[in-house]
Amino acid sequence: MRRAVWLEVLLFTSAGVCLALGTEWSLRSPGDIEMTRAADSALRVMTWNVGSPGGRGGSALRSVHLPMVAESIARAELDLCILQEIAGPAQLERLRSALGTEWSALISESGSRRVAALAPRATLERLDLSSGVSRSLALAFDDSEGIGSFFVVGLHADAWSSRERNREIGSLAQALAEFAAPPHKLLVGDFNLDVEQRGDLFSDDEHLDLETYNFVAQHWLDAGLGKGPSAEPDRRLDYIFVDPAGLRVLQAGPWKGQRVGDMDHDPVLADVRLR
Amino acid sequence: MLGLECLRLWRSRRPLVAVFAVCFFIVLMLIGFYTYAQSRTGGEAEFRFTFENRSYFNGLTFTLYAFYFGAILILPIFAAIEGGVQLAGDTASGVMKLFLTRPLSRTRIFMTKVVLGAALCALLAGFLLGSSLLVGLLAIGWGDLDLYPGVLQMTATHQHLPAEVALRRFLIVWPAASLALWVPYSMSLWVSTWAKSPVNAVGSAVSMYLVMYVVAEIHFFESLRPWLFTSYSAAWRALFQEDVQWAVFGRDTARLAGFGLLFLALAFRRFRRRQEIA
Repeated sequence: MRRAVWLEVLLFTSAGVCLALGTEWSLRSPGDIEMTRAADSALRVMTWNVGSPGGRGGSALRSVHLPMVAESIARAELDLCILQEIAGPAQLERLRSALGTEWSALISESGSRRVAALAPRATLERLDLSSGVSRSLALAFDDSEGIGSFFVVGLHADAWSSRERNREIGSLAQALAEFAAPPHKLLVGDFNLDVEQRGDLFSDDEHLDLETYNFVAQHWLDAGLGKGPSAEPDRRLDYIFVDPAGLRVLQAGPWKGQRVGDMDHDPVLADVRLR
Repeated sequence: MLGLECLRLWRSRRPLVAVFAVCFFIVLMLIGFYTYAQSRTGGEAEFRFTFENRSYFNGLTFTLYAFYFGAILILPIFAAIEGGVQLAGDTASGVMKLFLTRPLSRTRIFMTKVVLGAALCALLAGFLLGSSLLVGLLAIGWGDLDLYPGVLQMTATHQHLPAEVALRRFLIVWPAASLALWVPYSMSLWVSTWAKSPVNAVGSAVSMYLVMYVVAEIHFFESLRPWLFTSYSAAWRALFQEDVQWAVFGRDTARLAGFGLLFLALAFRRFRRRQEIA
């Protein structure tokens, strides 16, 4: 009888010890990105889908939200800003005016909801990748006297078809990779795929999205990996991929608290530097 | 008494049923893996941008897939069945009263069943692993193990393990997976101490396991995961990294062991206090 009591006590005690050892006592969360620049010589790049999800298939940046978006861009002390869901050249010009005319701007060439690029000091020159992806913008970023030169592709991938996402993202990644480095390269944008969370409720082919992500991730460095979701509901859809051979990520992650109105994406920032 | 229990287990045919289920499962996995690999890498494949290529589809990748699904979904069912039958079955058939009149102490009876269960879990895990490796080697062939983000939720970044390293990791996976199997066995042993009928015990234990597994997989219940042992059943996945995070693996394994010991403690508490009523 006494042996049985001791055995019971031993079992409960052992269980308690093991459960205590197995408890993660510190709450880990990715934490917000540090807005202080990681280094003066770093390139600070941001990608942000500034559209809204409402209505039939969502909408581009609403005019009433434009001033707040401009304020966020100005506060971020960016070197390069890639935006998705810009209504057209006229809206981009209004945004550029709100920021200051020293900003360079480029926009993708067709469609009602476009990808745009803005840079306060560098020159932006359009690149022709002949990828056949309409909601994309390929550019050469040149700040030779400052942080350097880069090839950048901004993309807003298809939201509904995993096959289209695979074609768009894969062809752009492949086309960009074919440019010999330097200058080094970045691939940024709203890719509309989430591999970290269980995205099967939102994808028509989750495995194809995995293949798409890994096609890029096996050769590029995912700057925002492990930094938390960037879009509703708790999905990481916005990416900054950098060329790992020549670029080092100093810090990266979503910048919370910048959404306006019914926007469903946070901006994602990264500070990268040449190795 | 351990020898007698082993004999009774063997004569019950339950281990054979588990072995047959594992073999059937591996055959199906092989057919699926082979046809999938052919469709992805054959000439008639529709082009797409992917990481899946001929070198990816090798015997070690097959082993990982087969072992992952077998160890998470197939074997825990059999472990839960065995735990449910052990005490409730002996109680219903009257064998428990026979043991107690011999007399054998309740502690000895209980610990014999615990040891037997642990051995069975280790054998089942080893059989699944060994047969998967053998089938992978003979039917598909060797190669290095590549793991990609999102696939089986095993890694956040691409991992490349040479074949020899991967095989050593599989060896460590065996005891880790055996522990993961032993926890549903302990839980069903606890359920078995309350049930008078083995059917009720097995049904309750298996359904509890499945409910916990499903709940742990749904992202809405993220806050519940630390309280469900099924969240840690695949802790051995951490071993398939180029640089293993041993502290994380040790923590999750400790938690799993803690759940198993807790179920065992609750089962023993109930078993040594209950009355065997005619």
